[in-house]
Amino acid sequence: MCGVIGPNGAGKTTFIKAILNVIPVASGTITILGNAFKDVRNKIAYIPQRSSVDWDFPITVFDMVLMGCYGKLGWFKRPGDLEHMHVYEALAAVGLEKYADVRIGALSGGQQQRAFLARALMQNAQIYFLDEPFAGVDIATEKIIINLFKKLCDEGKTIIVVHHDLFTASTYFDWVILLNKRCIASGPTEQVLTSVYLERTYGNITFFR
Amino acid sequence: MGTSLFSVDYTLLLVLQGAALLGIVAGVLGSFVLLRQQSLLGDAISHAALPGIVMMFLCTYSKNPWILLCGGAITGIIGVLSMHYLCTYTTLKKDAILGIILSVFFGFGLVLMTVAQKIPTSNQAILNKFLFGNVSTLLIEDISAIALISCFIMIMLMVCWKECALYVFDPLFAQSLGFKTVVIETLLMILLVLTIVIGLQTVGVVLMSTMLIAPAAAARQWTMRLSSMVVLAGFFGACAAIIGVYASSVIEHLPTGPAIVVAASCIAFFSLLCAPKRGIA
Repeated sequence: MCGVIGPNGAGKTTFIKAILNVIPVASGTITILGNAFKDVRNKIAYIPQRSSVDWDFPITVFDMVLMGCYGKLGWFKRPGDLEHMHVYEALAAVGLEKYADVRIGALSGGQQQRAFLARALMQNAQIYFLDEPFAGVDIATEKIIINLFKKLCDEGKTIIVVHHDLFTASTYFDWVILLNKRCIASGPTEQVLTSVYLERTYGNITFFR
Repeated sequence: MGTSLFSVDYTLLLVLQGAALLGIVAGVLGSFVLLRQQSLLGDAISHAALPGIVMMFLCTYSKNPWILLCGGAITGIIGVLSMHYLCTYTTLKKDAILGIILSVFFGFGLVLMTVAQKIPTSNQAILNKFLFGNVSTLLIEDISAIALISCFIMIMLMVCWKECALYVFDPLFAQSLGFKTVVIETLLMILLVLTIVIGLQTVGVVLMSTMLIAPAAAARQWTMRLSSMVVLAGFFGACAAIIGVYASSVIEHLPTGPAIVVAASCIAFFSLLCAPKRGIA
């Protein structure tokens, strides 16, 4: 489990989007598991920032989570019973099974984040990219999400999280990338989250750690 | 046009069919436009179609509305492309760009229209019908063309339903799943231009956008599923079109476009007020 950490405007989201081929890369090439993005697309799940969609959209939680399998289905093919079953499994994994037929707008912030997670679980990916999954969610949801991540890690999946809270970072992640316009440091958490690197990332601020 | 209430004649039935089809297609596509939060896009495209229509007339002196509409479609697309260009290469906000494109193209169209009026032929009378719409001049060929285009739009939407829904809800996620969002966006844009093209004869340049937005906005109030919203918007659009056409056939000198638009607005207003959960009441 890897954290991408840096101040506002450091390019954390841009970094993720570039990896996922959502925005063009200015220079260089990106390889994932030794391949170009489009060859390993089915092994990658992306969970955007919660604010990136219109939560007033007329769609139920079930239908939104179902969208997670559209990538595997490809063009024109419709989801069937198998996919519907997966949706219920994914909802159960995030504790939202009771909310399948609820309008997404009726969910709380934490539940919305979990619904997003369920949608990503549908992709059955190897690598999960999450953009600020803990922004604006309560402690209970954060616990649920972290436990889910731990479980995924135990299954051998990789989880890459854009995160801004330094205080929780050291307990959550075993690998950290410090970013501020450029890569400041990347390595095991205890080697990277040191005052030297943090100062280089955030400037000269005193950290209460 | 003095048709009495009980003698619905053949022509009226025909025209009603055409208008109802347009209502359905406009409502359905309007739902996507509304949810994509691009409500004014339809307005800009329809206004941008005017100079194309008049230019086509100046080139051909044709009375055939479909030839003129081809010109309209071309400038409509040019309007969309220039909006896209301005959006990408300037720091102007979207609403400002829409406003600029809309008024510049429409103003240019009106200038061309005064030029067309001075030409010694009687054919330019047809141009007026594109401003506010007039269904009484629709022929059977026009209705079949409308039916054909409507069918095409509906089939395309049904085939690509999953992709369109995904794109409209979460374009970023759609892209990360590996869908070419440019393709979906272009498809929706082409369908929108086609819808506007068949709508211009009925509702006219000025009021076309209401045909897209009002039924969709009304349907939005009643449902929490995209599929039922689209169906409902189509139904509302058809209702508005039928009521409007009928009213304009009964009341003399009432142009069809405004009549349809008033009917659509009434439905939307009623929905805003009365719909359960989302309504004001």
